[in-house]
Amino acid sequence: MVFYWYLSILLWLPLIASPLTYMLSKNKVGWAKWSATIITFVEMIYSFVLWMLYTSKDRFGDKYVTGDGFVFLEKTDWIVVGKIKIYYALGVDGLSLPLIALTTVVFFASMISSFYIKEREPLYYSLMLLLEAGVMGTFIALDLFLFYIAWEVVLVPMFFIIAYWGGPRRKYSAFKFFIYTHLASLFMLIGIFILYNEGGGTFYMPQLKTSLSTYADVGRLIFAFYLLAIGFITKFPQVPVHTWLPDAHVEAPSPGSSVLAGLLLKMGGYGLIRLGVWLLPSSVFTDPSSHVRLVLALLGMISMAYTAFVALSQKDMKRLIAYSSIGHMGVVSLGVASYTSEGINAAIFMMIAHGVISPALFLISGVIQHNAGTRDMTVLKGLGNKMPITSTLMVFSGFASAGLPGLAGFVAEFLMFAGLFKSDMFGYGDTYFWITVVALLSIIVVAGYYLWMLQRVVFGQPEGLEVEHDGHWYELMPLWLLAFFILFLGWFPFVVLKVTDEFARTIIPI
Amino acid sequence: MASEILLGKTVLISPFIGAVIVSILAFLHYSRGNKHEGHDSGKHDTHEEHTSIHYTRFENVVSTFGILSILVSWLSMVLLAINYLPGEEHETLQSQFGFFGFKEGGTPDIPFGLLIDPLSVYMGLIVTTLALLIHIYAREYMHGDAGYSRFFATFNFFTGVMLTLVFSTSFLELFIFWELVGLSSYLLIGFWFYKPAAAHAAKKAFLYNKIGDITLLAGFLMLYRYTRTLDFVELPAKMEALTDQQIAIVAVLIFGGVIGKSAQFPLYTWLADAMEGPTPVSAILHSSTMVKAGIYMVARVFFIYYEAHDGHNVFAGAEWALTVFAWIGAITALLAGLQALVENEIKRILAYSTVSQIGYMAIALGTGGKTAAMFHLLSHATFKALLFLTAGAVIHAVHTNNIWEMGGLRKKIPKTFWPMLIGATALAGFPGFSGFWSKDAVLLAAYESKVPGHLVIYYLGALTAFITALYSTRFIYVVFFRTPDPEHKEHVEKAHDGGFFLTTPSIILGVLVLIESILFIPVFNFEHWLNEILEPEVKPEAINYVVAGSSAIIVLLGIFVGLVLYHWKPELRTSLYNIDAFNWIANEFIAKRYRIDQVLYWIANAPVMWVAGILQSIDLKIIDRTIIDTWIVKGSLQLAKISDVFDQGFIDGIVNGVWQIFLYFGRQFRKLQTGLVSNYATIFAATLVLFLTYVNFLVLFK
Repeated sequence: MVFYWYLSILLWLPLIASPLTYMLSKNKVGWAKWSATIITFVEMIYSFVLWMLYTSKDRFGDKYVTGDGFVFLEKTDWIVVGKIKIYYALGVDGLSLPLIALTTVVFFASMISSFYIKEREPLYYSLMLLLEAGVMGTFIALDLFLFYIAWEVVLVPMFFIIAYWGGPRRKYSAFKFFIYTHLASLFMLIGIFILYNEGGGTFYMPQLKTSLSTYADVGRLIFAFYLLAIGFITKFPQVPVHTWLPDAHVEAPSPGSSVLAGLLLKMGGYGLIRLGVWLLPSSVFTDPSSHVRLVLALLGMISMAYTAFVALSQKDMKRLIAYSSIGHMGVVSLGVASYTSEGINAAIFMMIAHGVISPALFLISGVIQHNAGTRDMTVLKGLGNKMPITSTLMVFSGFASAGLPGLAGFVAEFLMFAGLFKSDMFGYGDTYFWITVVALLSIIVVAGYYLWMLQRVVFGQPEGLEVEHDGHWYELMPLWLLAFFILFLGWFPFVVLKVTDEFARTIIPI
Repeated sequence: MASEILLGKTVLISPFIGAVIVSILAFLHYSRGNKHEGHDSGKHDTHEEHTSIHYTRFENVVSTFGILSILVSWLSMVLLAINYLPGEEHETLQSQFGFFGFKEGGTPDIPFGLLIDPLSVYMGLIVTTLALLIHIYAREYMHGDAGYSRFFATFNFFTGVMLTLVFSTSFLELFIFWELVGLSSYLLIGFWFYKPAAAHAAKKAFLYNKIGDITLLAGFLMLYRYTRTLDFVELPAKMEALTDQQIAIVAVLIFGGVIGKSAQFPLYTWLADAMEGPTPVSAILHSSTMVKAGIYMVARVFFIYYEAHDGHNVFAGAEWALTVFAWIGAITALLAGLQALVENEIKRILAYSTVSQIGYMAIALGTGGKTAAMFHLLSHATFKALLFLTAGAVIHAVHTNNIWEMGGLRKKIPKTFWPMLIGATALAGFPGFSGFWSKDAVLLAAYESKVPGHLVIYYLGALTAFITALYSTRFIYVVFFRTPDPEHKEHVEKAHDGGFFLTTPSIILGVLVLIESILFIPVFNFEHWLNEILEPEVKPEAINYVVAGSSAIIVLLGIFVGLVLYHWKPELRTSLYNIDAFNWIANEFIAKRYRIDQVLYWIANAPVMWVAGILQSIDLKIIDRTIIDTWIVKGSLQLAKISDVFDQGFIDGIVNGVWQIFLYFGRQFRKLQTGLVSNYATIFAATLVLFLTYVNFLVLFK
């Protein structure tokens, strides 16, 4: 018998658990966190099981539905209004599978590290579960309509998480976050409708992909690409539409930041690759009249170099990490712009790597704030003696983020540069080599600001800081989990790359 | 062949296992509720017994496992060498897998694994031997330090990383461990992390290295661009298809990496600051790992510069790069040598001396003497490890780093004095000692090469030989022979030799230097043998008695001048320093590192911070405040009013909703009242619940 609802379980479990958690813990406030933790834990284990099933698809493919290039395919009619037909369609391929696993891991880690939250717990945890469902839906939806709904649903819980549990300027930041990303997704929506028209009236992505590649007009598709890209690039985000990110991160509670950096940014990257690269025909990238790749490369390069410098002059740890996130997402843009299989692999791998590294860093800054009372790097000093475990993890994650070989970030950066060096330089020949060079040089600055941060915070003698103990178990346990993945991905990148490479090959065969 | 691969794997893995065991032991120790003991001071006077027997026992267990793992590594290395090195033909053995797991037929995957050839076996032998001796030394030297287990874990890791670098089979693998070597040195230089100077030195070391690393990365990725492979075994055959320009780019960029890692001009000042780390760290950093990694790498990728099948034929494209490299080596050798002459801290003298000696190796590589470079690497590794270990013992004995606060220690610490004297004699290149033969090989390579200006390079090298002899004489004389100043008499009187673990390694090393000195005598043909296994395609140079004789004379002259200045006529020094120009050059120019740090600061650091400040204000003031907050928000408020009439199109509902939010945001912006927000939140949540219920129904009843 063929079992259909592999992915529906993944999507609906947190979605149903969200209101239930709220209702059940109305009287027993303490239940909320355990309910949410158990749900996310089950999701995590389940996503690993799905991964194993996925990798055995060549052998046992008939046990679960594969079709249209996707595994665990679910497709039923959902809304049919006249000629418009919307499917409830879910599916997984080499692009979305790693992101699903990442989602469950990051949510589990963030859920545990949220245990310090003491106000309005039921609401908090039910919003987090809703958020998980939204993020999950974005990654597995195969219908553009469903994709858009999930994309938008994510904004709401995140908005409230920042606005209720955030820092002093939380309202400003929450609104800024909401307006930015919401406005940007409107452009995306217009883009989606253009695709709908060009592709012969369907929202179902595999079908749309086929019809777009045969019928559509390249000029209009390039226009649609730019509209879509505005949505994605604001979400990543890239310079110059990035200023919501540092504010949102600084004000959000640290688990919120970790989800924001770990997953919400990845939705942008996922959208860019899924809609921009996979759905649109390759002529959008390779057509001589198209400057798409150059634009992306410039955005990526500017984001890497610009944020490296800006991060250097930050005083707040969280702001520094937020700027470094923007720089890392520049790797995604550049990887896509290189338009080589290495580049696409690098883009996906960077999302995964950054998805475990930056939550770790944000959670660490949370631990430091809770125990030392500040995140200001001009005040913090000599935590190495006071909080040895946190400091060790901080050195570890800091180096991971700076792209130290043997840790996750390096693999992505290396592959990205390998792709850039191998590529035809965005279709413009060797004269555009300087884009690569600037991106390469910015890595030195990245190492510089991380080392500076470590020197300020971890090294030296503590003065005037009242730190009594290291982090609590619920603060450190998620960090160990993330650290494990950082190390694992650094030495065994092929576990992920084997999956992503299948996807990359469908776009660029060589 | 399988046995050799297995031995090679043992060599690499054993130190890492040691690191893991040490970490587990430390974890068990501290998780049982033992508090951190030992000194947190980070001073060298770890001799006073403050620590409990319990902690000492823990130390012993930790160091035993640390040393054992290196011992296993060393034994397998020796077995491997015995199996592999003898004989005529040396087959290159490889055991590898694809690091990225790309499927076949598409992107070439980059291999990761083990490469056994004479070069890696030779280098591995040096690394394991010295690492073993330095580990034994550290067992006693680090006694009583609060971070004892941390030290051994990192130290084992360092050794393992360096060994893997040596045996790496592709540029990717080499680069990964190249950077990890940088990481371990960062952790070890900043070992006493609570000392600001140590934290600063660690950061500096890592950043200077990073500059080199990035150029190296660019270099081999350019190679990847042209050849589509990074495999050391596949690459040589593909080199000949490259144009001159392509080779020139790759060649120069790869030298960039060496300049950072092997501390060449102008990026060498970090190495002197790195003396903030514990002495065993300096010993291993300078002798066989880290700074030697650059030299080793060039030897490994010599096929980029010289045609693989005929080692005498330089690629036309690489000629320029080689010349530049040889010149940088010569300049570094001279500048660092001069600096060692005016430096007062014993470890810094040795540090500059390392820089200077690596300059020699760079000269050799630049002028085509791969064998000469590896030859000098061996002799330098041995005597420099010896010198650092004995220097540590001296510091341990007198609790100061400054040579002018020592004196007359010859009788007090004989077990340190004799090995150090042997080491210094070898460093000075006293005729007949190991340093003399290897330096001679380098100078000969420069003398006979075809590089433009090779004679000038040779003269610079000879001048450096003179300076080397001079400063070796200086520090040996000042530390061991000079009558100590009255105010320092007290601690000199108290000095005594260290214990078994502190002295034995240096005695062994001293014996090794003597053995090498004998072995290197041309009669025994060591250099020819080395030449044969490393580059069989190149005919060795015959010994040139002019070069050998003149360098012997130069060295003797240097020692003579040293004795004149410090022993027979010390007043000559005073009168020299009375000359203003001389005084300025020595104290203001050379002792301040030729102002290289300031220049680099003005070139790199200051502009970077300036740009950072400007971009930061662009971010906050222009993008955020002006464009977004003022233009866009206010503009959309206006637009919203106009569009009220207009938006009846396709995306009506959603667009409308957003303008609503915009309007709302605009108002909120002006007032920011709490009550409104929670109302809004309630409405939003209610809508959402309704929406979700709707979706549920749709799905359930379809």
